[in-house]
Amino acid sequence: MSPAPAERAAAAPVSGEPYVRIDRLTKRFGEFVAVQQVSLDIRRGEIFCLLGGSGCGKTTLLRMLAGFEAPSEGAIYIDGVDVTLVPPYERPVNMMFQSFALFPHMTVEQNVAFGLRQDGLRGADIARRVAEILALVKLEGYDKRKPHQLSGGQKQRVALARALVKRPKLLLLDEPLGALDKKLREHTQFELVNLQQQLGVTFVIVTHDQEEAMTLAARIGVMRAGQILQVGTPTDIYEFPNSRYVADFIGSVNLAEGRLIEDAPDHVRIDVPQLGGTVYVDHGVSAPPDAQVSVAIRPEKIHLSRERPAQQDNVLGGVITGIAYLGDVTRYLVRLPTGYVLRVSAPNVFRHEERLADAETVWIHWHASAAVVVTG
Amino acid sequence: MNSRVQSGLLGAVTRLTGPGRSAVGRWFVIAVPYFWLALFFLVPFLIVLKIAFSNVQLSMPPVEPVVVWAGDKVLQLRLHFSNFAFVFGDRLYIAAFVNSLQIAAVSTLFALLIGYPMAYGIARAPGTWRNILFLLVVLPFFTSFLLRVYAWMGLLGRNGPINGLLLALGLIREPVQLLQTDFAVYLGMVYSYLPFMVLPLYTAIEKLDLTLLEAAADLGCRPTKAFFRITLPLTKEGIFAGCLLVFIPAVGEYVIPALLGGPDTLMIGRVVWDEFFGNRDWPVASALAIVLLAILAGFVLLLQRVQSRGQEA
Repeated sequence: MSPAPAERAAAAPVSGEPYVRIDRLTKRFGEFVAVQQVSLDIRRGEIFCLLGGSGCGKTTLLRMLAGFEAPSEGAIYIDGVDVTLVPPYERPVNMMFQSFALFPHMTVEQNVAFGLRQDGLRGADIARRVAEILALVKLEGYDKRKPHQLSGGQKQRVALARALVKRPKLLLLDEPLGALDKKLREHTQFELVNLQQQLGVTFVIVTHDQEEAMTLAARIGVMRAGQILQVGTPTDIYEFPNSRYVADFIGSVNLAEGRLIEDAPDHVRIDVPQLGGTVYVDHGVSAPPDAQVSVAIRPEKIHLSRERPAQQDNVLGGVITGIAYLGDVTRYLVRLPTGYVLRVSAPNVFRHEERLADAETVWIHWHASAAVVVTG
Repeated sequence: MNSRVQSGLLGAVTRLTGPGRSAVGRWFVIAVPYFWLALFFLVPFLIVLKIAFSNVQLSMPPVEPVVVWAGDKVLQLRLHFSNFAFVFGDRLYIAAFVNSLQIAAVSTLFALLIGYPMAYGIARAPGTWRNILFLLVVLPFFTSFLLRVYAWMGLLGRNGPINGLLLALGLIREPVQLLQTDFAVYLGMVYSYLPFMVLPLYTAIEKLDLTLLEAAADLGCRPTKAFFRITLPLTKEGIFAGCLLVFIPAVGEYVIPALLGGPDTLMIGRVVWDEFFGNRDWPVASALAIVLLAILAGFVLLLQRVQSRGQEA
């Protein structure tokens, strides 16, 4: 799928030409199409994230950018140069591998210096640049250690330093935080962004973890079955998903099928039998009247109350069938008379609050802007 | 993979014996093979050691006893160091040792040069092919070693197929002497011991993480250079193991030089045989065996030290 002209125009950087251009890239392994006609523009100095489940083609796309896989069709341009057929050892691209791929027989210093040695730099220059980058990733004093003497977080920094020391035009990161434990991840996420802003290197990150994508990326491309479904900022992807799949993949969502019964430029009304009523949405939808659409409502945008709310539209009654208290929020499952179970999450703002109880009958309502209508 | 297999075995043994009975169980599991080794390796070695310090005598066995009753309740230990002096004093024996070490070293080198690409090819072959190729390496063991060496005699003979082929191709006018040459000994050695080189190399290459080579390429390293900077150093253990497995038996090899080598192919295995069965000089033969053992043990220790130092650095 190539992005619509309007979308491409919107994605075009202010500074002019895109820095990395992926043009109708396809990769086939025998009969299997791993990546299908993907076109993508990445801006200079941007953190771009390819997000998708396993087998969606994101890693294959990354490996084509690195030069490890030759595309079946299409082209890759970096800074205006066609690098489609350039071997990995001649590309101005470096990669941080998921397993880090540190050379076990070399010290931290030798690992980091490896790339510079290949460029034939002088010993003094190599030593200076290695020391600089190790200071940047806060690994001074570790230069004589071997990889097996390092913790997971330290290995990750060495891998990052080794990839950054060559000052690549493009840094590829394959699940950069995947091998770290949860505490370390959160810490490292912010460090990674800081480092990127300091150096201004363009990052392309591959991940299956939506939280990782949301925190790291300026823009996200959601991939599925070898295609990019949607490209946008984390907010775009979360608040304005363009398809059922994207809405469902990012975060938690209530999805229901419906039919467009009222179509005005400033609002639409959708008949949703699963919810046992109509859903009023305060913005227009580009779909023909009577079209079958999906309605997506995020759990945190739905409110629960004991008294019937004042508003006319988007009000339903139901029974609480499950409560999960998570501290910051409480998640509820509410069964509607139709049998549909709605997910609702509510922030716990007050400490002394009379909380809703299991099996309690409640009113459900949401704002006219809360629901997203998707046709795909 | 070696260490993984070892820890796996150890784990299995621990599980078999269980934590409660572990002391007795572990002792038993270790004791059986050690008892076997003591009975059939250590005891014969001690007998050989004893004979090496003895003297020739016309009797059966043809050696003087080392421990003798010297008259009045006196137990006498009679050690003759003359055998060792004789061994080190005779140029023939020295030459045999040097020659054996040299033939073994050259054979090991060729086995490595042939075995490494083989092992590399097998380790990188697609799944099903890998198993077939691996089986082909082990296949010669299904036939007796002696038979295979005899087969080479037939192949290398004056009227053998190799000479026949060379004649048919017009490369030679008349059959060349292939059998009973040093060339035939090298050929037999490399052929016979190649699997012992390939197997540990295969294990080492197979466990090499391929993303390391991708990382090297990504950092600007060309494939040939990456082989010498990454693949070779990381398969060093396989190279050491393979070289030891070929070199050690090759030094003391008797059958191959006896069957394929010429009268002037001087190897220590043959000399020991001649001393033992030809001259019936058991003490000198035993002394030769002891010296050979000492040399090989020295090599093993040296390699081990080099290897452990490599791991530390």
